[in-house]
Amino acid sequence: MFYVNKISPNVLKRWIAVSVFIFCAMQLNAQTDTTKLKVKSADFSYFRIGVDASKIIASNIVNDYEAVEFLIDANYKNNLVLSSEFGFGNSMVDNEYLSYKSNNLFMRLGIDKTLFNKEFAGDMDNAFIGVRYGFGLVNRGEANYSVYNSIYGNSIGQIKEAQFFTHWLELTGGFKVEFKKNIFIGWNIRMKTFINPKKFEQLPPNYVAGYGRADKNTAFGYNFYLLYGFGSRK
Amino acid sequence: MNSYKYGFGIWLLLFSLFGASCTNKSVCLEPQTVALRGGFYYSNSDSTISLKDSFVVNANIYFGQGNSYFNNLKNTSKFSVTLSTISDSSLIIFQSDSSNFMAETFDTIRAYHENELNFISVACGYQFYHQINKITYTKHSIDTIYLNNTRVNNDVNKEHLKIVLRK
Repeated sequence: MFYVNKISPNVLKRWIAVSVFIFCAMQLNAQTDTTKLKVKSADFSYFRIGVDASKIIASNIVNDYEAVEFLIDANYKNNLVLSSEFGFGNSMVDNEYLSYKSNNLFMRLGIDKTLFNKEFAGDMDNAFIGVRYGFGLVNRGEANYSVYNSIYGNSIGQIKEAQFFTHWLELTGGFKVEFKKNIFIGWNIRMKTFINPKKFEQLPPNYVAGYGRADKNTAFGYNFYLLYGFGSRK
Repeated sequence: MNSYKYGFGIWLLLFSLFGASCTNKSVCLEPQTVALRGGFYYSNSDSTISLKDSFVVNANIYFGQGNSYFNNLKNTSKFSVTLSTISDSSLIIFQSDSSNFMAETFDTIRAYHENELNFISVACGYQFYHQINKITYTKHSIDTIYLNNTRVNNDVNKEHLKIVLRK
């Protein structure tokens, strides 16, 4: 799925630098927590499913995009969590120069590493950092444009619809806390960068669900998840 | 008790809320028209071209639909005009002396060009670039016009026309 030879040198440098930082942070954390109690979780014993409440709220507040995001994660090993996020959305651009709509599906796959040791068996409250590979299919509808020229006269025209496959990488960090038995809330922040930014050099969607503003090669985002957990937390 | 764990979580929550509250309204701040740029020159006796500053003392350049717009050029050797975005040629009229309306003071310059859409941004939409294919002109005050650069775009450092005036 990765087209490594197409990643621009700047993007590659940025991700290498951030990856080195995360690796160092993990090493530091491992060193400082060696004396504390370590509780090993069973592989794939506990699962969580959830929905991003912030996107539902935002979709009702702003009028230029709608998005829904879901999350499924599973404890993989002692301090690793496999995560899959997916969803869909649509957006529109409607200003005096441009008018078009777009919609997309997306999925993100990745892994999180928890930062703190468990305080007791079954303790699920923790902070994490993680990485994601995201990809999506984007449909952009027919676009109408207007070019205003008071000297020679205005021009209007149309650009035909188009479809794109896009993919991106993310770094994320966040916190999940169990506030009632098996009911969690989780929030995180994300930094994302397109692997194939040239796809959106012309008429980028106003908002790509799962990524954010498509006219930015590097985007920042956040989620506020409501989650339900099930399974064994041995 | 791992209270710093929850401290970290609360700090991150506040940071996320701060980020979420930031609005990112798109506002168009870029110029949406590009200009053809020209300079006035005189020809040396050895056939080389030399630039002379402030060459035109008081001239006019007419352009636009029906040539209803003009720039008055006083003590300058440079000018810029926009090209048509709705047709494939643009007429520019050069009046070498704005106080003299005799026919000999007027020259017409016609630029034949292709118009190319160029995407600026979501906030600004499109603009038109131009690819100049040919220049025709009359020779009352103008001796020769050299097409120095055929592509009219956002590059403000390029001069497209070198207009050599008669002495």
